[in-house]
Amino acid sequence: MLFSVLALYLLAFLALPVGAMVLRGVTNTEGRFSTDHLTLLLANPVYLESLGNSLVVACGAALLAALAALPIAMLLWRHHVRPSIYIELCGFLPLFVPPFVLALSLQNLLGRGGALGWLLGGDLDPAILGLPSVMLVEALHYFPLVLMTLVMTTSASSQQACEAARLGSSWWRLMTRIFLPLGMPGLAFGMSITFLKAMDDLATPLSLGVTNLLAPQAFFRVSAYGSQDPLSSLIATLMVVISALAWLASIRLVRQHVSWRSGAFAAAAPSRRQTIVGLSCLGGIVMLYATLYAGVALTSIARIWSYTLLPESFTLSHYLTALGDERGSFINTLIYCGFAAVVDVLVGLLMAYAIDRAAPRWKTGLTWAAAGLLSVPGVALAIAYLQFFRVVELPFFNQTIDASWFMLPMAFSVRGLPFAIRACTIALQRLPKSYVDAASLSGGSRLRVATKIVLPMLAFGLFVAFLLCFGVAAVDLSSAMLLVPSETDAPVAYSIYLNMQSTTGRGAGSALAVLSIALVTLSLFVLLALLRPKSKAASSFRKFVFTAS
Amino acid sequence: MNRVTIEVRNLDFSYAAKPVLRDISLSIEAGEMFAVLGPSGSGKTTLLRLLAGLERPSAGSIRINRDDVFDIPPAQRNVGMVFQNFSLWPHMSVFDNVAFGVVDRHLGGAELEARVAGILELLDIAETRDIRPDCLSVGQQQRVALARALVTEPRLLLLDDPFSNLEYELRVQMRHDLRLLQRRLGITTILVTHDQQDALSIADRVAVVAHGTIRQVGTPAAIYDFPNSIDVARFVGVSNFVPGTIKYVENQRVEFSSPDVGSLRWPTGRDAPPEGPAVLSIRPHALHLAPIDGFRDGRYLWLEGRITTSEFLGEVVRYQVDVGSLSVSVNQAHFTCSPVTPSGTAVLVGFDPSRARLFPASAAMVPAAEHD
Repeated sequence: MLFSVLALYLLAFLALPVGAMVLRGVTNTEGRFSTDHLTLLLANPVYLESLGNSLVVACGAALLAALAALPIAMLLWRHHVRPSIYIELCGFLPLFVPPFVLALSLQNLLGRGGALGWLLGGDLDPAILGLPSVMLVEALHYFPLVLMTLVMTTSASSQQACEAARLGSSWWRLMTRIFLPLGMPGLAFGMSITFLKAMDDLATPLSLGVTNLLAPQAFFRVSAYGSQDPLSSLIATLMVVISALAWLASIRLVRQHVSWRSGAFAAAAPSRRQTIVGLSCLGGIVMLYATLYAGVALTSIARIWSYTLLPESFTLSHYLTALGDERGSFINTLIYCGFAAVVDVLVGLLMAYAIDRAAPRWKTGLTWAAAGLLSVPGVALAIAYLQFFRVVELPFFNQTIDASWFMLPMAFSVRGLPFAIRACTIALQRLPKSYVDAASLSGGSRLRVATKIVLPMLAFGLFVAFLLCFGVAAVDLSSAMLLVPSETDAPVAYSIYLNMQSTTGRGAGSALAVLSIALVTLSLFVLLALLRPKSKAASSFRKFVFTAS
Repeated sequence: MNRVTIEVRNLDFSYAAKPVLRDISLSIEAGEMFAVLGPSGSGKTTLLRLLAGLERPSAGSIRINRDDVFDIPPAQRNVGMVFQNFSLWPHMSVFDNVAFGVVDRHLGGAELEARVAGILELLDIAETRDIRPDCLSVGQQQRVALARALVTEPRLLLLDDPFSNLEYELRVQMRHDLRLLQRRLGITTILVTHDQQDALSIADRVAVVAHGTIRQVGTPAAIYDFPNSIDVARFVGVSNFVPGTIKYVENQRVEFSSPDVGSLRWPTGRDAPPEGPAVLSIRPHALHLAPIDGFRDGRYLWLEGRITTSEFLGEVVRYQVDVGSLSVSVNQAHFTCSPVTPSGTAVLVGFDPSRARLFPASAAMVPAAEHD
């Protein structure tokens, strides 16, 4: 029964809408297979340019982030510096903060009237630089993720490397033979996430005035020609195919075994010099990001700020405006993301259970297929929903589903599902079968075994899954921009975007962004602090990404 | 406690279409401590789970006190089980862990309290009642797991490799305590283990399992002294194996020939295998060392060899002696201040034929799927 519901959910909210969207792109009005739309797409230089640009931005962002992360990770590895679990967690913040906030912050700093922009004559204004600035913003945004995944996968071996170097091995050899092969899963994971997110990002290019990318083009087609436009289907299909290929290409590297145990040699604490180098390095990165986000932070408290290094006067009124006027968007976020996270936890638990019970030969394949849901772009999913649910009526509400907010949490839930499955798999691993067997043998009723043993032991893992999915949904602007029926139904991320475009200034939008980032950071840290014992928490967190099954 | 007999007949179990257990038949007496001994993947834990009702057999029957329990769910079999990792619920105190199984039995508060306190007292862990399992030592955790299994007054106690997580000294102590407790309660107990010391030291009888089938059932001494196959001889204790051929068996005499040891003749009983390829098995402690030019005692058959290495193990010194192309282990008792014979020394290796075993070389069986 439960698995029928699961199959129904996957069919209704993933397979059928996406399948129908793909079909719409490759069939003519009579429903026959046709390459007419593809010919039309390829004949239009704007779309060809958009395809090339999207690939350039996504690949470039992933490469830039990797090139920046590699030397720093090597430095930390060589100096045997392992950042604390809290610093590692900060590396995952990009997953919970929309990248367009960084773009707008840079605009506030480097724009013509910005803090530094007026000194530089506006030459570095991200909005003027166009495509390279989108690439740079995406790279800067996801760089901490790439760095930390790289650090997490290599740091267990840094101690042996230090000992081996003392015994005469050259550092170059250690870097090429030990660091790079061990770091490949982390690097591949970070780069693939950067690629997928950059490909899917809609708000960042629009904030910077760049429209010749696939996501904005699909968005404009739907806005101009309606949701049934076959070319928007084809563009969305193209995004799905590119993302899926990128994910498949990275799997071989990501799924390699990663060891979390430190080496067999006696533990040696880093020397004073090593600690100073490591901390300086990490401190430098923190300072860089504090500077990058200073644009948003200062705007949120600036009364007047134009053509000066710092605001001329300060105020907290933007926060009062944000909290007062945008209360609705907070409530919307709670409803949409809460709903999506609950669906994710239920579906994720069922899928994790099904994967766990699957025959060994299927298990790994199913695990990676579930993770492959990461490669469904939000824009593509939103277009698929708009097309598929246009004619479906919402029971009891007397309106079609596409006119309600119902599609938004469902899209969020599909997008959060890979995270939910992973978190639920870890939660299930904390409940070995023998614990339930012991309860059954003790003579307890099924209800008592469920309420006294199974649920309490799963509760924390499910709570983590809920928070994770909530966070992922809260920043999913690509789906939200297409699926929100009206501004009053917008979630916080979309409200930040709308407020940033406001003619009355970016104060309220910046305040909203600062509040959101603070809230996300606080939630993650509280969550980690709750995990006890600490070593297990760190281990679970580090295993979350890389353990295949 | 209710003393029960167990009858297992022609039990089969398959996992993902691969046979895990095949044609298992056992009779376990009331109040007996019965050990199932086998290597990892031999199917011994699966056998325990079938007895508990946690898995359903593909064929065969399980009778407890002559009642077929095939369709009886685990909760109603009245079986207690101690799991290998103890499986104590980490969010509950020791008291709650132990009381879990009796809460549903409609005991009054005082009666329940007394029952749990009694079993904690019996296992000498009364002071831990309000502590959570992760704050206990491994030995205490094992006692809590045992208390949880016994508090429901089960008619059968199943122990899944309960000593594998314990250090040597604690292991010996827990074996002793468990044996005393089992005798005191008189509960029929089945222990599965991969450790021959655990099995041989406390069990009344032992079944050796390999590749999903039972290879031999008997008392610990019988299993050790008279293994019925190469598998059993290899798994229980250490043995030297000399491949060769039985040239003839007649008039209760046997001639065994091998390129390494030459042709040997000795009187034998009726259990000698027929003529053909065979393997001679001799325990290291059944071999004697003597100087190469020493007296050759007529009770033994003597082989010439040369010591290659020696290991000082405390009570004994284990020598590796090259005999032909074979390397043979020989245990010699160590006495205070007696020197270890140096490597390279030419020696005589003698054995009493009555302590050697001959197995047909073709006795290998088709292995079942490995599944514990």
